[in-house]
Amino acid sequence: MVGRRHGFGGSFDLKAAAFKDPVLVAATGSVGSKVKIAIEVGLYGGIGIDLVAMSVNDLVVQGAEPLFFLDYFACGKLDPAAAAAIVAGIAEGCRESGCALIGGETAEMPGLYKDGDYDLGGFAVGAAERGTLLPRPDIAAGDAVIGLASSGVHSNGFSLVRKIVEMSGLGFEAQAPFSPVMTLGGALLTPTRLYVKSCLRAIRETGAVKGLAHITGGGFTDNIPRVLPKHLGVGIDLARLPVLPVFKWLAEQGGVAELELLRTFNCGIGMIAIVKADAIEEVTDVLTQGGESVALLGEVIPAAGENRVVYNGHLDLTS
Amino acid sequence: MAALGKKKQHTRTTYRDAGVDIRLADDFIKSIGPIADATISQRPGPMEGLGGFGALFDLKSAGFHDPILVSSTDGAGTKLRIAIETNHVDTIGIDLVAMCVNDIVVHGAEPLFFLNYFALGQLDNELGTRVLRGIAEGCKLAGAALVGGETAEMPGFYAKGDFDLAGFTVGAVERGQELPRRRDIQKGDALVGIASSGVHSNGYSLVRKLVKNSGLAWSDVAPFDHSKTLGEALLEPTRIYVKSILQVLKKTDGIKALAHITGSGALGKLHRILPSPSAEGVRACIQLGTWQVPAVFRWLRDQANYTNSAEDEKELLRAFNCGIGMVAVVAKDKVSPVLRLLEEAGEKAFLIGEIESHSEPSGKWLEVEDAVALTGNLAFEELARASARRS
Repeated sequence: MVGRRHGFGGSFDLKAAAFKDPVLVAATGSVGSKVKIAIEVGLYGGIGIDLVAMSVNDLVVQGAEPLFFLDYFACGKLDPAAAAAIVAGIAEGCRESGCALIGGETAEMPGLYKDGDYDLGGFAVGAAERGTLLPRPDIAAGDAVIGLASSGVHSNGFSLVRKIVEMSGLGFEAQAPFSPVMTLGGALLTPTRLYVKSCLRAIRETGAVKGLAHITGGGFTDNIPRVLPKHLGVGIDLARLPVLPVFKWLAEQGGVAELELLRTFNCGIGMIAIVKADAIEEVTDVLTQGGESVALLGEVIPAAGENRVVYNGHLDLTS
Repeated sequence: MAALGKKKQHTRTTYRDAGVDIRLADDFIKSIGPIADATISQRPGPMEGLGGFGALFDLKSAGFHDPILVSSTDGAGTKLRIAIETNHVDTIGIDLVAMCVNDIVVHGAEPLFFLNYFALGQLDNELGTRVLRGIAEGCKLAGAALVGGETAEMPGFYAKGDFDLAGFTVGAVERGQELPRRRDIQKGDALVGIASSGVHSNGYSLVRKLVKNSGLAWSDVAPFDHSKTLGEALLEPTRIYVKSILQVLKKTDGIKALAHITGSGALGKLHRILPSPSAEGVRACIQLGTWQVPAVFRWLRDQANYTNSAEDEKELLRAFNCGIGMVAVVAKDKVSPVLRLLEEAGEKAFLIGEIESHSEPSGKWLEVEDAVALTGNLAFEELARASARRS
């Protein structure tokens, strides 16, 4: 084991961070099989941002502001240049989401990881003043469902991505069929979008954001119901979903059915906001000013049976 | 544009085809729920969260007024390899928790909650549950709530049966109670060592190498403990010092600093808690032979062909904890009560040295930026006697 720590544990002063009566929120995340592509392609810069995003996006959906982050970096043999690039990405992700990288552990385990292989785990702690946690209890039928655009595949579904790429016969160094200015590997490795600053701003400035759902593994189908009371569901108009070209390619190349696509990938929307119906415009404005691309996707409806996410129409998968 | 790729095939691809079965993952998550619940109900603070994207914790209901948060992360390290190879994965979770929580209790912080990262090639419910039970057991021993975790299934990345573990803990200490109190450390303060339970979680790359050289199999009887196989004996879980130390810290203000002895041993860790030598002019002087080094370390020493020379003992102390898992810097007049309180709390504690003036002349060998001095020789438990006693 190679230590990369100052002192034994990292300390954080809540009062200095101006919290009066904070509730702590903690999240852990990993980059999953995306890391395998980063290793094969030899691009290390973005994977650290992915790692941070997977944790801090899970904090902001609780209404919490990320305070600090720690990383676990395990490898077969430490490659200082690669490790430095990865940690630089982690630090950038932390800066962009306003949290401090206060610690980490670097483990060298030749028996478990091959030379050149590595894995990453991330842990984030945030805080919210008591009473400001999301989802709010007042989510009701008729609330609007707003989608925030993703930057790409983000960090879920990469086992399937790898399989489809394998089936396509393309190498990661080939031109990306869906984004000709990039290599396939580079395009697939586009870092996960960090929604922290824009969402916190929308929560605080509008007071109209009742819930947020980070769209990860399981897609809309699994992630939206997590923030809804049992008796509610959502109706999503699939035609309004701005499907990114990468998903059209994955769907076509892999012959992935629409429902499987929706259960595996974000399909172009990485964060869902449940918003008061009379504040759609206001929330949209604040999110747009915060750099987000926003689409109104549907509304909250009374749940009927098991399927609490009702899809209307179809995804536009024509390229 | 699809022409760049192979022609679209008339096959349907699902996530399951790619080696990831979300339903199996759901089953696993359901089965570990009750295991985690037992750690959550043991302490105040964890909150019922909606959605489960992150874990919630209420500091006020945990009794804190003006808390400083202290956090730590660690992996299980190479010890994990032995656990996997011998299929003794049940207690590696205790090691994982121990490595994290022992690192925050040395700051005087009480562990509040713990999260784990569990990465493997293909989810195996039985294996996963055994690992998680160990983590939950560690959390119980530390009084921490196991509030969440990430299970990453990466087919093709980890070999079948292989997995990796990382842990993360957050604790809190009231402002003003944080350790170390570096400025209070002065000449004459005592060094109190607290016994380890075995090799703990560091030095396992060397352990593996030495075992390989010895020609013994993990399933052979441990030469230093006839009641166990070599694998079992070397997998003895890392001692979790949290409850005993917090109990002692409540009853005395005699402890000025604590060091968790991990990688690079006592030599590497003690200097972290001392005032910088140039500024304060003190160093830690450890009197070797003041505690009995358990037989496992004697056996490891013999396998490494180390002698009792100063250089070899220094190497051994660098590689392993040599029987001391935690060192406390204690005010001279509080040594007796601290030793007594530690014993009452279930620890074995020894007076192993003192803080001395940096300018003190000595024939001792110095270590680690002149912050630690060693004198004397290690005293080892006899191999035969240890085996007889245990078998």
